[in-house]
Amino acid sequence: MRSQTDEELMERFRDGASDAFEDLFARHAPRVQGFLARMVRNGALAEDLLQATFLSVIRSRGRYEPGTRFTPWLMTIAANAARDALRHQRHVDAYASREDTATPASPAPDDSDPALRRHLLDALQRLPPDHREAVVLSKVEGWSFEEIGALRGISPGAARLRAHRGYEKLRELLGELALEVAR
Amino acid sequence: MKPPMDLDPLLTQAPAKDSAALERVLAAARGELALRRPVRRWRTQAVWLMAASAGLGLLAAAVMLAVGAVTSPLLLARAPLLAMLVGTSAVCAWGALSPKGRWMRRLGVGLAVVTAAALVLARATPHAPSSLPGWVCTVSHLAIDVVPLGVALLALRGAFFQPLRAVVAGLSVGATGALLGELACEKDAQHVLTHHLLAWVVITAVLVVISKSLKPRSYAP
Repeated sequence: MRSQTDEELMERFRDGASDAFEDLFARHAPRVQGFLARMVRNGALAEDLLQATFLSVIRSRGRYEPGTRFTPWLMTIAANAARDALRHQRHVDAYASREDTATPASPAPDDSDPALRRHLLDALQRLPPDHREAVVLSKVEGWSFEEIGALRGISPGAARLRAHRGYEKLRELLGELALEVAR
Repeated sequence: MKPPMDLDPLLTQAPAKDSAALERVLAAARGELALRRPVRRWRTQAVWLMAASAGLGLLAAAVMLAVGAVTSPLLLARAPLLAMLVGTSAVCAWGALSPKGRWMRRLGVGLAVVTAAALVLARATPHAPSSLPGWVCTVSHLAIDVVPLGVALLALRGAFFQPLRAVVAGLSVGATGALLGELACEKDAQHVLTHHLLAWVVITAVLVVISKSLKPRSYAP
């Protein structure tokens, strides 16, 4: 039997089929969890935001328009939730930077080094939320700059600039880290 | 020179899956589903907002006509402006609640500006000075906006806060009072500018501020 598409499941859910929600959750929750973990780097907050995202899907299923691609719609909700939380909880960044300074010095990083990945996630938290969102959505989630622009009401060029600046800042932060480790 | 570090493989590496967190979130979602709350379609909410704003204004017009507070000739003379206000209110309500209504929101703001200009420019010098102070119009304007304001706030809580969305919802709400002002007030253009349009701006600002301060029930677009 042909498995239903996300859009078909969402339309069924909108029309009252609760089991369709469970299928959508099973398909997409880990991906949303990964996105939020990159956005806030705080397990408890990421879980709250994951919950807020799926409660929003339930409460706002009447706002889902047939024909809308489900994954971008869902990730837009998650991005909105993260943006709202970051706006209200500036201490998340402070927490991340405290955690960063407490990290013991690790050997010179290379791409297979798990410490480098940890530092990368910490460095992500030092980016302005708009830049972080653009980097994660474009590099991790594979969104086009048109899609990111539509999400935030900016031009594709502005979205590209945010992602580019964020990516360059990440490189810079990791370069500083490599120098610190080499000393 | 060393080539720049390629961060893509690191960025795309999936973080460790937290199955316990997923279970807890799914349990919370099942709890929400068990409440069996009705599905609120955005079009239905938009129609409710239209009914509460433009509909309330038209109802006020009908009542005023019935009790003789306005005459049929006056109503006919003001019909184009009333139609503009109803149209502006409807476009703004639809734009405020539509998930993809960015262009409609811009159109709503444009229409509101044109309508506001028309309200001022179309106002003739009164034949006899009014005995009522100007603030009565402002207060009446704000008072009649309370009902559509409540409807708009309830509807907007179902979506992620966006300033332009809240602005057009406020413009839709404020059109109610402006409609009443067109029917009940005979004062000059200066009065319309300083008392009617001020109230329209105030109710829009009030809606934006309250809407921003309320915790959203949903982060949906």
